[in-house]
Amino acid sequence: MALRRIRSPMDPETAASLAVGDTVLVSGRIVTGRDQVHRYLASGGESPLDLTGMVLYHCGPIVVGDAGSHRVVAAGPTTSMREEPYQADVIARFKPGAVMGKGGMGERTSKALVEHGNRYPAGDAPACRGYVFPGSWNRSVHRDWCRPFWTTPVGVAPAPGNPCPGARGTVP
Amino acid sequence: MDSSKLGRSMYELMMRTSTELPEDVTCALEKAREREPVHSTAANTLDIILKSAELSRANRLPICQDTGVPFAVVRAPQAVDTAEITRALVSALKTLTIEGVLRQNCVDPVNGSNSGDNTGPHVPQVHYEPSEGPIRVDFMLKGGGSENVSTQYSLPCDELRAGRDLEGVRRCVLDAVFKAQGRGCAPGFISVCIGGDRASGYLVAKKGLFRKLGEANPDVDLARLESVITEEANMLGIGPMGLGGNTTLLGCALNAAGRHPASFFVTVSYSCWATRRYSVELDETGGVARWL
Repeated sequence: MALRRIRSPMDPETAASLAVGDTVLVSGRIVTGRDQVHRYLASGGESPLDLTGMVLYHCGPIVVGDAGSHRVVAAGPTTSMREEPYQADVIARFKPGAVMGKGGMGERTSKALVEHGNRYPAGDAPACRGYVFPGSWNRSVHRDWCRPFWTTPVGVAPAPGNPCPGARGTVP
Repeated sequence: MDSSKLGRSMYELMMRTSTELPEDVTCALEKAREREPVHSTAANTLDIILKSAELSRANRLPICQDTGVPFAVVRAPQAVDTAEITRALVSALKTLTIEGVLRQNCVDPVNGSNSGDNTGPHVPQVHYEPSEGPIRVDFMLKGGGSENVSTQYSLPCDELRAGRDLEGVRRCVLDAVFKAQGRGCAPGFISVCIGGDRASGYLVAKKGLFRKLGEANPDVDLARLESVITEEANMLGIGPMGLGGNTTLLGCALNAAGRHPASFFVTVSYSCWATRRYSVELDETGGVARWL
């Protein structure tokens, strides 16, 4: 088992070099999307972002704030199996570099990943929150969606005792 | 009761539930880590889980971005104004949602709109039970992923060769754990209702998750079966987050409810490793008397 550091977006060679059991630290820019985003993309919708080589993260983050001043409080992975009906089509259409989530996926996705040279890293539910630098996410909302895409630069987890910018601790 | 004191108590109860992994769960995860081989994926996964829980506690951040469905059980003497308690719970819920300690988790199933404040028809769920003693509030946040893998069986079940006895119950529970795989965020804690009807089965099973891990079942037969199920589930190899390992289940709580002669339901409520529930006892003013 190796510890791998990769940047998103990535080239197909990087994706193909990841092996089952590797621990992967992702930095760069990633994009999140859940059921409605996948359904939209799989049924012919256009992405407001170029997803080529991106890490597509199955995640419904907690986001507070208004347009222009978003703060991401927590962003762990959601159950990937819910995207199974759409994932293979999304991979074929948009060529993301990797799909990140939890709980594993089905055979169709598996085939699509092999065919397109991508990978599926599984996340540790809470840990991904530690990896994200909150406060710097940008939202792209498409008019047809209830659920937006969120994109963010990510880095390694802040050290313990170095609270995220979103930290709080008072009782009103 | 002093409504502002009661409000602060409910706020603190929910804040703690979302941000502090209960001690019994932390202990069970630490013990599980010791059972896993050093540097294994399972040990590393449990390390990350424990480290993340520690960060959440220190920074008062949600343990998981899925802050679940708010569920409360209130025990109070008849004279207590339960509507006042409900108001305090709802108000704390809305405040914590605005603050980002709780995610907006209440969606209209018909038109897909999100209420934005964690309230809606039948949400939050507050169950009142009359009692003689002081007011006690049990509060739980149970994530969607773990709720999705919770399930109900009707015995006899041909597919599992499960009859209407404890062996049948064992088969159902292990089947539920196996089918959940890593989707429920293993290692989980499961609570089971043996008997009851379709509705009470789920309610009794969910309430059973308030039992602390490691607390013995007073019924000797059920206690024995709990150990057997936990041990056997840990031989399934599903492991933390479904990535393989010796830890699939942290514990099992079996509960019994009277059944109709024609029915024999086994209801399994699966709770993820981020089992988030706290119980609090209130004084006459609504302040926190003690954490249970």
